[in-house]
Amino acid sequence: MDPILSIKGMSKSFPGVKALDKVDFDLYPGEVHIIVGENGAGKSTMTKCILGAYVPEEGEMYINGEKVAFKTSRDAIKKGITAVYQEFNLIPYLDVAQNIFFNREFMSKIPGVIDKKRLHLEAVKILKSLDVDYIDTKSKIKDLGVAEKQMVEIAKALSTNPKIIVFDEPTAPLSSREVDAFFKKVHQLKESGIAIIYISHRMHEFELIGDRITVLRDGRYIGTVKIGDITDDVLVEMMVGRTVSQIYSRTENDYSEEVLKVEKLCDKKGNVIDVSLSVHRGEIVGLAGLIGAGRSELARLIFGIDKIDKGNIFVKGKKVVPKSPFHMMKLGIGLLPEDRKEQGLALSLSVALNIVTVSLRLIFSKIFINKMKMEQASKKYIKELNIITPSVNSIIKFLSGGNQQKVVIAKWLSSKADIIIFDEPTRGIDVGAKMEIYSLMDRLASEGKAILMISSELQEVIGLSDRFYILFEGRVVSESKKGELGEQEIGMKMLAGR
Amino acid sequence: MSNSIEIKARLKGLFSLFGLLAIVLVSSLVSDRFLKVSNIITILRQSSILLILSLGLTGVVLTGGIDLSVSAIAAFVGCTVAQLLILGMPIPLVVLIGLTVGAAIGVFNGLLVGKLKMPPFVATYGMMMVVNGFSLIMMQGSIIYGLPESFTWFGVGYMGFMPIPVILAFLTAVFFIVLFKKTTFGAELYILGSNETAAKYSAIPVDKRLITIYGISGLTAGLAGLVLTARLDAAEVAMSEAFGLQTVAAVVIGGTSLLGGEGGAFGTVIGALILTIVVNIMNLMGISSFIQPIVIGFVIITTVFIDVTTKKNR
Amino acid sequence: MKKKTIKFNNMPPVLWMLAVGIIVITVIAPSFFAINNFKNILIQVAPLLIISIGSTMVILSEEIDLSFGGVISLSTVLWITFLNLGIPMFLAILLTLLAAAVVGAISGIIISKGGIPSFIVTLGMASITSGIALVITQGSSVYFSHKFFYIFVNGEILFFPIPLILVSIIFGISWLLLYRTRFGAQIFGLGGNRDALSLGGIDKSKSIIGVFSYSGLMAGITGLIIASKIESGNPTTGAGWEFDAIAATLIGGTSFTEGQGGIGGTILGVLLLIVLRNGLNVIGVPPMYQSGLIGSMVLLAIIIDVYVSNYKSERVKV
Repeated sequence: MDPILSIKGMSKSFPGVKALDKVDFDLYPGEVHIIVGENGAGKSTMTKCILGAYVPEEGEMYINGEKVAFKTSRDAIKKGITAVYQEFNLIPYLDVAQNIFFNREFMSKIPGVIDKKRLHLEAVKILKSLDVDYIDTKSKIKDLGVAEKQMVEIAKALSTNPKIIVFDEPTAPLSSREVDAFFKKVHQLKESGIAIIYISHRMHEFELIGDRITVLRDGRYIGTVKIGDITDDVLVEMMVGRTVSQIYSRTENDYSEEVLKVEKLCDKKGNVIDVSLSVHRGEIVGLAGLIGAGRSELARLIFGIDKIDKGNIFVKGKKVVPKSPFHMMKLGIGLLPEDRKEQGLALSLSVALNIVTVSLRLIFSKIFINKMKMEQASKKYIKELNIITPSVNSIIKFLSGGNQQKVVIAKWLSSKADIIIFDEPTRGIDVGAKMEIYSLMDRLASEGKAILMISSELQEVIGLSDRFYILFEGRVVSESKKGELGEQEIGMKMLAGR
Repeated sequence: MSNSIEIKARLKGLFSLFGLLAIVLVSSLVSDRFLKVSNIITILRQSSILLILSLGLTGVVLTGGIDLSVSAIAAFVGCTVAQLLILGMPIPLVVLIGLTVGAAIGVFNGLLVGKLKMPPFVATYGMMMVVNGFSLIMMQGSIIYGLPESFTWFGVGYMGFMPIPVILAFLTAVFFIVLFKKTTFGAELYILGSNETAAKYSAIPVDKRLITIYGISGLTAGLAGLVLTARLDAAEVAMSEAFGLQTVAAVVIGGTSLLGGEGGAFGTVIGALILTIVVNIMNLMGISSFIQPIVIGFVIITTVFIDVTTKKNR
Repeated sequence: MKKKTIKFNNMPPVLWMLAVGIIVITVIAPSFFAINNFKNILIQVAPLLIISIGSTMVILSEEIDLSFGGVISLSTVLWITFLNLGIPMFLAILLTLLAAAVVGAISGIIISKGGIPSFIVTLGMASITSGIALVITQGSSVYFSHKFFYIFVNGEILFFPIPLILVSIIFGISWLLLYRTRFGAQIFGLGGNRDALSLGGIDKSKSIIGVFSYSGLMAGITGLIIASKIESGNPTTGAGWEFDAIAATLIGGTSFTEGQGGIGGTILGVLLLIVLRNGLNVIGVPPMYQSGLIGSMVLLAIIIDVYVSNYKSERVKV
């Protein structure tokens, strides 16, 4: 049998990062082919290229042996490739049938008018083929539960008569019972000859659903194996890789003073469940886990952006209920957010202004700004952190990722924060700048600051932290000191929670 | 586009200044009455109230929002003040009340936008309807005339050869230029406008700042209403109708971007001047005043279009 | 069971308000429900309902049209001017409606292709259209007489006033458009989940231009009705209509933020507004108070809507 989809040597880069590096991949009709890898491994990039949402700069793609080059997602849909996304693409106030056939409705003889009867008839047919015809095609999306919405999404994908369906973390919002029902559907789809690309990190599901697994790491193709031919340990080893000989040199500090303590913290949405941890002066505490494990959500709770549902936070010994970032900043806490472009910087403004953002009222007198003082203060940090920029007044948009990140760090340093949360500090940054940031973090710790580092790069967490916690689906599943756990164990806990 | 923010800001400032000079040049060529001192003073005086009204609005636009209720607030305050003056209330108290009312309405706007997270134009549009409604109730369709001279002095009086409104507008402009460019509050406004999420993550109390700036916008609207009433020596519901669209035009022409984070009070000064001059020259040339709304409408759309497109290209 | 609760959630505020309003008025002034008054009310409903339908569609697609007033004024002026120029009635009507729709289309094009926020574009357009009307009439009104006017406003077919029939037809067509065509589905899409449209590679511009053209057309028709009533074209007649249209839409339950609502609710919103206005008149409340009251109601409706949607989103899992 020939593969229905075949990719050779595909590459795709973004500014500062090579997301895909000469990746090969093939897919056979009727198989469920799982794609795994850590965050940033390239799973999403590869599938987006397949779906026509990205255009790769290198490589070839063949569908049924025929070479194709997609420019838009419509091209991919025409070739029978469609996706079921994690964030549902449904329209809340339209009904199920309308959503399934959105923009492809059946027309009646009257020009422009939709044939409602046929619309619902065909919708029922598809739902029936999925065994979910209990869903009323007339009900509005907003009234459906999560599992039902997902079924509608699948029905929507099916209505295009696809030959290939891409599922992106489909079981994330489902309860275990709903997952079983979902798997049955996937089997049905398989049997009808559709090829399925299945992105997931839930290793315990793989043997129930998958035929083959392809592992990506750092944008590179590592290998493809058959389910059953491989144990979990080996799989994790493939995903995580051998220990890189990067040196994360750390100084020994006195870790006695606890400055941040979190006790059984829960948020309102169920992303953070009963989390307890502590951070001391001089420590770098790592927080490992996958996307969706709850780490950034935890940071937001501590920093006062989201509201706590249950649990306590203690800052420097005193119990605190965070009211706002402003409140927490005054207590000495700073947060370097995950997405520096969206959350960390005012891109259209200057480097100087970005650096002084938090410390505006500290550097200057209560009310007035002094431009000279602002430039002076910024220059100090530019020098200290080795930020490369043509001028202190350059628009920050034009700096490289690494330098932008340094500006975000400078912003919090200038605020005299002594408990700093770094959320993905080296994401999208080249190796040279990474090392600079590592040594900077080390220096900060030695100066007595307490650092909580959220990172999806296992090497970073293992190499840089004095202690680290692993989060899985909102809970802490492990707390360990440097060197206590082997890489395999860590990988397992991150990826499977056990 | 240049990398340095200084150079870029200077360019934009130059651009509007250049526009102003161009218009002055063209106008003086078109009509020999244009450059007469009396005409220039007329222009300055005409633009004063528009300027005062637009300056507060500039602050709101800097945060990426909009305040559609400013002219309604001005009218409401004007009518309130007139009523109180007729009743014989002392002028300083009346002024205080007028400003407070304006600020209070502005703060309410700020609460809707800052705390309830309403889209600014929805909140201020609704507020405009409400304020207009209350003006109608208060005035019962009548016009109030004959205000005390010591009050109307603010509108028609002179200090030397400068009309008082011009001096007031000047002082207000200076205040706002300093506020936006030289204070921490102003810097926070720009940051807010450039990226509200980043501002929040940078521990800027976004809701407090929004409440304040909308309050300030209401306050300046109140001030404009006071001066307008003094100048007209009368008050009625429709007194500030003409300014409605012009305030947005002045802000936008002056280079302050509707998307936030860019521009300033000086630009608004230029924008107000440009608008007033255009109207003035059309009058001098005898062009029907009916064309004006068309021109203003065009100018607004085009200016915003240029602004949006240049942002996309960067 | 689910269906029943849904209907209850969407409709009641307006229904209740209407019911309460009617009861209160009946108690205070029983003369309100004399047949004459009723017919009167229904005739007033016509133009407001038509324009509110346009506004509802625009708001459903998460945009706003502030230019109704200007387009209405321009339509009255254009129509009367065409007639004065000797253009035959039928052609004059056609041209006027075409012009109104074109104005809307232009707004739509600028909004979708230019990426400029709709409130700015329609605000500017309001100015431009009023300005054009002013230029044409040089500040005054233009007049014309034609028996068509009288028939249009006062005529009846089988005891049903013509305006009412017109409204019903338009309502019917609009309903079809909104709930039975791809165009309508796209409107809900624009308002309910605009990103979904982008991801699906759907061209949003066509729908946006369509929506604004349609609302322009509605404004044009409203202009015709008004011009027939006052037998003249006036550059300021339309002023303020956008307030009422938006008010009726919002009170009727259509929400800015969710692509929720529909013209069914808008009818009720319009009815409520008109009943209120008339009722208040009958009771003796001066028209001056009405705007304040209605404005406050609208604001309240908006606040409640935003508050509820904020509350809902806080409880939903990420």
